[in-house]
Amino acid sequence: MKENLLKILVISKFSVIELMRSKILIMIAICSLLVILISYIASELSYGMPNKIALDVGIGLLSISLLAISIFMGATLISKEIENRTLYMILSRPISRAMFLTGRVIGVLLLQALATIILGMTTIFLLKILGGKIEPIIFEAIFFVFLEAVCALLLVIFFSLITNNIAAIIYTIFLYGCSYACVELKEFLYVKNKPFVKNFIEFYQATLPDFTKLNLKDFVFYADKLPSNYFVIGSAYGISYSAFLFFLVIIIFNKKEFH
Amino acid sequence: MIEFLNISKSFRQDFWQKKVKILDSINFSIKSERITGFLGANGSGKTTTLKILFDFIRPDSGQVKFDKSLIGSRNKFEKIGFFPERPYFYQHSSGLEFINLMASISMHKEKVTKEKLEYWSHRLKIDHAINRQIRTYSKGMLQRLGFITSVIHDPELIILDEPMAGLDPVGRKLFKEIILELGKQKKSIFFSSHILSDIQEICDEIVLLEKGEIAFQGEVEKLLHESKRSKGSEDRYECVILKPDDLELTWSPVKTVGEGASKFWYYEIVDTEIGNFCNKIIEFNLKIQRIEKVTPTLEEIVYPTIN
Repeated sequence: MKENLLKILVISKFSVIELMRSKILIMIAICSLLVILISYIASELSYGMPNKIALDVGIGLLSISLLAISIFMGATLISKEIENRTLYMILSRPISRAMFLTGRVIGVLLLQALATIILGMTTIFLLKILGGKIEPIIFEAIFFVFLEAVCALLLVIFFSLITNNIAAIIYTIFLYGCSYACVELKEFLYVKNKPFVKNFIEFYQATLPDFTKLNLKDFVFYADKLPSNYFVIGSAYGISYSAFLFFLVIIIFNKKEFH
Repeated sequence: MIEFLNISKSFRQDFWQKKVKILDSINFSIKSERITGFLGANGSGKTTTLKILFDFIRPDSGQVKFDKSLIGSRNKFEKIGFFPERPYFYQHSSGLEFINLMASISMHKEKVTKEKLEYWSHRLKIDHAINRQIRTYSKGMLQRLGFITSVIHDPELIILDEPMAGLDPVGRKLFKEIILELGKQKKSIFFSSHILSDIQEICDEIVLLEKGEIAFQGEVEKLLHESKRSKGSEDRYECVILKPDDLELTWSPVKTVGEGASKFWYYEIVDTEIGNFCNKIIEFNLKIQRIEKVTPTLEEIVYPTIN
């Protein structure tokens, strides 16, 4: 057990080093600078609430950056290893496929955690400078952005194992868009009047990933009070759905043939 | 050490196409403390066989049986080192980091890894580049790095898929020397190659795969002997003598080379005739340039078999 954990840690440590040396850190640094720049411009142009704009821009950019890291890194995380045959060298050693995959996923998650900390701190720092109040909901929103990225990462890995990289990216973005579209669609009179369509949308939301459950941006921006247990239920949903996707990915990866 | 029992594998190259049989009930074994060459033309199923061995793909039928002595306490691949065809590494890491990664996965002790790394990087002449990022390595250096990663954990069985592909003559010679050295250290080596002269030079045994079937397994000498016997051919001698003036021998020369006083006759004489031929040479006091027994090469035997 201890040995297995050590092997997972070795893979994840190596993944972090490898990812850090790619251009990903530059992207995170650019995003941080963008947060500062856009917040400054917006605060100059707006009247009365520059801190709100800084918060909105910061959390928005954090969400986009993490999703981009998830989708583009996740799509190639395993498929590139198969294509480049690095997988052959590693899996011919005493390490199981599940351990290898876990290590790789943890590596990307650590990098995402680092990006979350850097961009989140930049946002909070700007908010403080611009005179905003640091509410606990801001931290909850940042945590949910991280959870959303984890979910997207596992979803894109799942698709990359059963299709190709491009299709995996398209399907993930499509499902992400669909989860937001469903919320809007449910408000349509046509849908309200058609129980079949309404049930279909509800079934879709219950089975496929519902990213809207992990979105607290409106609550943060409009300073709405978060419904009681919303954070707990949302966290439980994000963690359990990610765990489900993770086990699904492991099962597929274990069964996959590397031609 | 490892037995392949009735392994069959078919692939569908396209969803709509029929399955193509790559391996057809192959049976062979990798023997302990032997250098075994794995021969076969492109597409004969060599790499597929190795992929089945490492569970990268699963056979349609049959099984790969590992000897108890080979299976470690933790994992069946613990005592195996594998060098895949055209190895590719993480481009942003250094050679040292990659080797350490592979050694760590094998739970090899850090101190031992360091000693082995020093020895192998020096032996394979990449010690000067071991701290450089892998993306700056040449093809030959990548081959050398791949070889180090396959032996760094001191495996009992080393499996090499086309290890000498893309190496310059110096590199090829070095690899051959190392394989022979490892063989002398009682390591078992199984390697695939297209270069038959390499196999003949360094292997004790060969496994010949032809269109997904095992055409031969056994000692190289045995294959040469069996081939000669099946063809019913006798031993032959290549004889070169200085062309005498105004003398005709019973045997016709295969060719005549040179001019004037330095004209040579080339003969190919069968075993039963060589005694008479030598007697004639002595009788007429002819000048011998060379008499050599012609041994068929693996190439002469295997290529017609594959074709």
